[in-house]
Amino acid sequence: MKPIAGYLVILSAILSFAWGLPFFYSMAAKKKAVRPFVSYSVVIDDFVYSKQSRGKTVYMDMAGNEYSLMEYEKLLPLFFTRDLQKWGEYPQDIGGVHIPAEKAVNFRDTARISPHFVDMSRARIQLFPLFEAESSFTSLEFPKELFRIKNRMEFINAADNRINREKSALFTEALKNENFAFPAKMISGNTYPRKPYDFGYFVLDAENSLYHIYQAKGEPVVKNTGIAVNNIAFMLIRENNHLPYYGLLVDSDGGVWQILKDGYKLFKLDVKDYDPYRKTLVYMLDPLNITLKVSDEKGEAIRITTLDGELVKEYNGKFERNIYGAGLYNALFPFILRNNPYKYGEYIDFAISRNYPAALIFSAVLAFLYLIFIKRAGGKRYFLINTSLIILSGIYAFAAILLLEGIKRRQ
Amino acid sequence: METGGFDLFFQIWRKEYLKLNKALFALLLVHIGVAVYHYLRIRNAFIVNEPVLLWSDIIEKGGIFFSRFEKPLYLSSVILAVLQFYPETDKRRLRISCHLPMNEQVMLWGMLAFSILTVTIYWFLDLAAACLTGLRYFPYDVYSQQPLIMFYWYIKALVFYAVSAVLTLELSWGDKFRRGIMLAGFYNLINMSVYNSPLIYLIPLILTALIFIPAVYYPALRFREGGDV
Repeated sequence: MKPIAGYLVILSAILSFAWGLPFFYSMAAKKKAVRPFVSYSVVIDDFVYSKQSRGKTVYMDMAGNEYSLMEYEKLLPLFFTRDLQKWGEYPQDIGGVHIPAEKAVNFRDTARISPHFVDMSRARIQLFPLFEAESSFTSLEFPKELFRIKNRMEFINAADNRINREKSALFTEALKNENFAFPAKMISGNTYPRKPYDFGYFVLDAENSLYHIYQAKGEPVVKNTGIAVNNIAFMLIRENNHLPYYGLLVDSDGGVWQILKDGYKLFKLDVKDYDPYRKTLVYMLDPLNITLKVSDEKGEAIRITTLDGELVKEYNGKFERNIYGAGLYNALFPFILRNNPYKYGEYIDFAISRNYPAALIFSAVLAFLYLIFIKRAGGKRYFLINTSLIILSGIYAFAAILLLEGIKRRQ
Repeated sequence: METGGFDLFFQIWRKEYLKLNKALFALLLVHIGVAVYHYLRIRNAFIVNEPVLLWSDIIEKGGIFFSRFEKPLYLSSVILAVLQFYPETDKRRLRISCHLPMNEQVMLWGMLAFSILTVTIYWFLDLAAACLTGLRYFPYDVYSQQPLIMFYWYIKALVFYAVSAVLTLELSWGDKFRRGIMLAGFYNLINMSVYNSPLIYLIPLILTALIFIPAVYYPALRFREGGDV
């Protein structure tokens, strides 16, 4: 029992160290990685970027020309429209197209869809406020009830924590009339009242049909959109009069679509190598182009398309690691336990070293050192188990065995 | 002749109860106090604020409205471990006990089981109080998540107990420090504080706890041989 207890302590320590040592190394060796913010300039038909260098921000294009901040903003008139207007420098024609400043400001959308955000929408408690879409007032009033869609659509009054049976029956009936299959698999909408208007929720039913549900003058409005995507991972709903779409739809395979207001048609965006559970998508729309940035901790890939989806330009860039001695880090730690950066919440994630051969060689060196050590100490009990542990888990097992005084003395 | 089995087990529980009853009662009062305070805070929040906005705030932010039960449970586990094992290190009582004609593993398991049961009772009290408050003020979608999240706290509390017991049982400060370094990482390995977490994540967390908890045997059994494994 005693050796087993000893090895349980060692195993516990290996787990502890696999979290703690990489964490403290990262903290001690943290550096600010220079990651340029890359944008497409329609003025020079090339990418431009801003980045931090020696404590100040520099603005450059891909040819290496450096710009002042004002010059840089002039290269991105659809991005810095208000500043250019203020300086009287806003060009009415951009890229050969007449674009009034108001259109540049209004016909614009930006969204950042990170894995964390996707998981957060899954983990969210599935209760939502249903606003009045045809309110007589200019501002939206937060309802007294939240709804859920399980085996029926139910409205729960927060004041008495009871179900509003009348309203629940009304909406459930409306859903049944449109052949909605209960329960809902996903509900997406904007739950905050500070928006120009409300256009309800997009709801995926049990048979993967997408419905649009909202409330008009207290009555349910339910529309089967006819959209059938089997593996929807995430939906981002926009409530913006100026945009031609209701929002964005992302599937598990990384396909991204606009849900058009024109008959709920889908328009596929030209996104490549995107995994919604592992990578971040930045979507930017302006009156001329759509910018699609897919990034992870290693780098980013940017594709610029026209509004019709035709590829204009693309860019690929690698990110610098944000710790000093990244090579040493990869060799020191054969695996790490860390908080899963892709998940919402504190989930422990297991990750193998990015340079496992180097980590294995380092572990073998430690094992060799350990063998020398026990030979000098004149011990041999358990040395095979201990050596194997060190080869498998490197510095973690080495440190644990050395720290466990009893085992050390036995050698 | 070696003594063992249930008779020894219950004799140990009796001994542990006699040793700890005042502390157990004091901790029970703390847990009841936290439960009453929790209920009153939630009740007041619902009186002062618009209930639907409170619901909405918790849902949008993923707020754990019953988090005030978490730290007292950990604290109880640590206090229990220290009060249970510190007297055993005084004059090496545990060493003497380990040399009595009885099964030392049953003896240790009896001591561990006593505290695990105690922590479990405190946890059940907390859970009942949190769920009753949740049932009164929150919809099913919210309060149904409470047992799972609180179960993670329970697992972590047991590991808190085990690690505190290990540190208490180590005789020298050097050994306490070394064991502290070796085991401290558990605090970040056993975590889960979000709604709707997939049940599959329970498995690695329970396995981690099952590795950490029996580690108590290591310093305890060293007493028998006077320090070494």
